[in-house]
Amino acid sequence: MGPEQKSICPATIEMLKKAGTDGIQTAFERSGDLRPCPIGSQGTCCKICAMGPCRITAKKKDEQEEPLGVCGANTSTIAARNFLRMIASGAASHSDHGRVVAEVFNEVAQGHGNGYEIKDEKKLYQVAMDFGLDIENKSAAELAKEVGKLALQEFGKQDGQLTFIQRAPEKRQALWKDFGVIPRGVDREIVESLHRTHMGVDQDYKNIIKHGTRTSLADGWGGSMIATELQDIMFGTPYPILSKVNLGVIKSNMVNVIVHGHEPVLSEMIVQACQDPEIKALAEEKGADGINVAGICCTANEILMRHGIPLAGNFLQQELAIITGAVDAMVVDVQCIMQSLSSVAACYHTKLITTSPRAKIAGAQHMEFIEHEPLESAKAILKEAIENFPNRKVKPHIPKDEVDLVAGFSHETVNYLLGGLFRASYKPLNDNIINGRIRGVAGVVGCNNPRVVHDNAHVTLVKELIANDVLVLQTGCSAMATAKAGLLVPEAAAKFAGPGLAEVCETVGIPPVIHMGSCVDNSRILMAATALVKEGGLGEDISDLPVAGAAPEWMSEKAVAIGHYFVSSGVYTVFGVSWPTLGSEELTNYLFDSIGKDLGGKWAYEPDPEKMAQMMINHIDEKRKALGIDKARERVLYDMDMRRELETQ
Amino acid sequence: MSDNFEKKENYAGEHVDVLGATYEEGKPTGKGIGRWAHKLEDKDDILYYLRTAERYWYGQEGEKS
Ligand code: SF4
Ligand code: SF4
Repeated sequence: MGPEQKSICPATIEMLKKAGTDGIQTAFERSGDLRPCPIGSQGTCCKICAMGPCRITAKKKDEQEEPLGVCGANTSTIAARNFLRMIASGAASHSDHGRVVAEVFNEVAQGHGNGYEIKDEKKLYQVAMDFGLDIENKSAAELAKEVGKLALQEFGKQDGQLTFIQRAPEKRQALWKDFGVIPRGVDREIVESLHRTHMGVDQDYKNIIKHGTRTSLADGWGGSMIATELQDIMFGTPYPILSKVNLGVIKSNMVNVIVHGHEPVLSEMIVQACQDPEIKALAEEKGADGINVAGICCTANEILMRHGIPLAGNFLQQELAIITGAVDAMVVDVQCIMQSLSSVAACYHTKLITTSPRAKIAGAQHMEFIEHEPLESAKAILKEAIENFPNRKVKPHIPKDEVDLVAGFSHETVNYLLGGLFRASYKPLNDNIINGRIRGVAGVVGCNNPRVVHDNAHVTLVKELIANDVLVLQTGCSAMATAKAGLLVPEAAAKFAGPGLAEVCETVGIPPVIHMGSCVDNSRILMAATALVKEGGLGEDISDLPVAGAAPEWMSEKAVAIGHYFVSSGVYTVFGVSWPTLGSEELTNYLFDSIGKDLGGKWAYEPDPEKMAQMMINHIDEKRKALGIDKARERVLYDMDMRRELETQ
Repeated sequence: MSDNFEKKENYAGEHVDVLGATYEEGKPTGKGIGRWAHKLEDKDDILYYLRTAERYWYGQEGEKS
């Protein structure tokens, strides 16, 4: 299969050709060479004890006995245990990120920010109110200390409920309470997931998935939401900002520093350190025209949203950025970082610098990012990159592709944009959903996966949705895919959106596809959905809304955690690529159907993005029908000619 | 962010305060374009905004349906 069959992104195709010429192997080739294990991919390989691994398949028609593991575990138990472990790992990743942010926040609150500060007092008051603090009579500094302490306690709480659960619609909270899935503490639910999935513990697939629900809620309404909120307080709540995306943002005459990973605690400081006169002077001294910071994966989204720093690319472009020969340092922290970067970097002059004690890579240079001395750490890293600029081995080959995008839509900014400072409200959005100009809202998120054509499912799905008047909210690598296709600018509304959606976008001045941030910022989508419910007119719960979710090119366990907290919050959620429980018909039927009776939301799987779009639109239309707004059409305003015509009839 | 009231005369000839224009004046320009939250100047402004604009979570009203 040639590069043109592997991606729809022109810069990616160009770099894959260069990789071939340079003799570099990438994830695109490895995925072709290494076929997925058919049993593992359908979720029925168990290796949690040394009596196994037990690789079992579903009962065939001519088989009398149900295939079982050595301990007697059936396919439903094994697949459910694996599914819960995916949720737990995803929730742990988002939440450990949230914990680091909370720790840094506490340092700032204690007056030891060392470069970090409280930038957004408004968000601080919001979170302080969530925690029930007396905001009237306390200063911002006093509140920050209390918020920091309480936020950190959310991770280790043993009972009660996570604070942000109370942000959900009242009916949803009642459903969670009745079903017994309100998370007590972030860490507690994750630890219990690992206990329950140990050999010989929870062996009832529905009960296992029920704890998956509790654990995923501890992520979406817990660890992820804490990360988003505290980051907003320290780094600023995003506002609309113009930037660029794709490998063309790498500049041959500048020191190129690619930040890759997830935690803005590092990337924010890199951005700040670039402004340092000493650093700028050093870059000039080495013959560069300056320092160019660009991002890959979600750390890119974080600094894009708050500073307009360009996006070099999404998950599958990480190796390709180095193959340009122009990346002087790739600075990584945690999550979604391929080990292959080390060997690809070794073929060029690029320094791969790991910065987190939790994520080292053999062959990479480790420069620990010290949170007590963030600016010094960032400057030291930048100096390594600058010193490396004269060491470029080959003339850089950088694709020309770079595309404009507008990002920075927090749910608060959407509220503001819809009504202004004096009348900020979700009402215009609700009204336009009710009158049918906007058919519904879809959250399209998640990764890239070389098992499918890079970016194709994201772009096809989103184009289909907006053409059918569905407003799309995005995060993660999915937002980067559609940004590269030119969908994240206001002009895209006239070009790609259906007439109703285009009219609303033109009036408000927003793109038809709204970039809401990184993977932890999926919590912003939960808040936007809650605002739609609380504004009124669209039912009493998220499950009543004409909304749907999708991750068409998912690969990460974090995507499963996100998908499950959307399902658990009442959203119909469709995944592409492959589905990790297909080895158990019983469990798959539960997740795709009867879980809806428990939670209001349910899962679906469809690798074809056009069919996926149709499934989401069908769901949206069903919800519109249930709300009695399926017939709603825009009121026709008759002009005088039309009246005369009517009178003469 | 005080509300803008105008003095008017009602039909009985009494003076009344009528709410005036509430749109934001001018066109957004310059670098910080889009940085809307900076328009909230002090704590009172912020808290007023949160209780009205972010009423879904911080207002006095309950949920509508
Ligand atoms: S727990 Fe049971 S199914 Fe899993 S590896 Fe051990 S014996 Fe096999
Ligand atoms: S969307 Fe997926 S690949 Fe991209 S940063 Fe998030 S988890 Fe990683």
